[in-house]
Amino acid sequence: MFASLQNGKPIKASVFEYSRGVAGGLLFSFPLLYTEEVWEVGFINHPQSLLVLVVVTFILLLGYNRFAGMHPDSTWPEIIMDSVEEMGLGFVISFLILLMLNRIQLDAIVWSELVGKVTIEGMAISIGVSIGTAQLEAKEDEDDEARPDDNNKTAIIVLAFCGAIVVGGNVAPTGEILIITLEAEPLHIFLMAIISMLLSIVIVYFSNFRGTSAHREESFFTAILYDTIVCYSIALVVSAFLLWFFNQFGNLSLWHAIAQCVVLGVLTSLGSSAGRLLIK
Amino acid sequence: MGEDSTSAQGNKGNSNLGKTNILEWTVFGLGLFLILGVMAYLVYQLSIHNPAPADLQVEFMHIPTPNNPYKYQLSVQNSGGKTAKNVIVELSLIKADTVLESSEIDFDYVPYTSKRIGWVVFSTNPAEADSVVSKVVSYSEAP
Repeated sequence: MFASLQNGKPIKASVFEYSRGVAGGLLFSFPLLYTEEVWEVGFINHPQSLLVLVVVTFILLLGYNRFAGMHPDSTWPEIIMDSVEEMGLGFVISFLILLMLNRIQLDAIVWSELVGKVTIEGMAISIGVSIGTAQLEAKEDEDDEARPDDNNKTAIIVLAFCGAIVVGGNVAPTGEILIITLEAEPLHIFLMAIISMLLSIVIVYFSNFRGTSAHREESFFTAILYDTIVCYSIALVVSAFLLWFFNQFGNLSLWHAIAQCVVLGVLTSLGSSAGRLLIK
Repeated sequence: MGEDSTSAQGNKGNSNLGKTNILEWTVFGLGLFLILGVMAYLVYQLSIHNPAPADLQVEFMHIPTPNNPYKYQLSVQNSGGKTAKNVIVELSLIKADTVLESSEIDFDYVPYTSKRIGWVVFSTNPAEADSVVSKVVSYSEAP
């Protein structure tokens, strides 16, 4: 069925890769595709925030492909090409699924709404495509040496960002974050911050996640301190970005804005620690 | 797309782009076109975007149906630069300064530069009224 071109990669292999990407894209983004608040953001948000989202997502794709999605020897032109393909697939899948769900209508197109909805959902899907392509391949093909080095701090930071976005992005648009924040006492917020950091420590160092404790050259406590600070800082930054993008700050006081970051931070810290380990 | 690890080692290096097949070049071309197209559209929207508050205009039309002979189609156009939330529009039948009947409709959102359409149904025959008057009762602005 599939022809192989001379000196080229077999088309069949490419089709399998795209299939894995589509599966991953849907797997990681279906919650967002079925979330009303995300559709609404598609027509509420102004063009500049959508532009920021596209740029940030592309940088994340480059980072993920550089440190986890592709072989470490991959060149930047290859990484850029893969990232463009993944983002393009994200747009196409987003358009088709939203059409299927009747969230966009072709007989009464309002372009700003269509582009807004397809862009927001497409960015979530493209990250899923990237992760799916890398993670859904057959286990016997797995090459441990091709995985990122646990001591590569840049890789840790990039993957922590990706993990936090993937996990936190599913909850950030919902109204529940604001409800929890407004009904929480300062003690609850404090406990959430402490639990978030404890979860990071437990997940990274005391769980049996693959490849977490191997090859550590630093002292145990230095490594714990470093990973916890990095994971939680990234979790808070990602929380703030997601909450800003989904218009969750509104005209809230500084305290409530910070408290929202901590509330969402429980999930994003899980993403930056556990999620990071799962997607690498 | 991510390298197939069965062939990953052999596919690396600067020469590997030369091994990209026609399907991958096609998907890459489509992806590049979509990304640049969306970015260009967003930049264009940014250049013409009007940061003014929401500006709502209501239009209505009597469209009777066999089961609802006193039904009106009502549209709300937002010409402003911000999305209006929880928009309540009222349509009233007026006769000699007296309101014969009023009906309301709620729209969750009327996005900027967009239109939303709905219907209101009266129990009074609009022919008995001197005029039909619309009014935006209330709304809030999305951030």
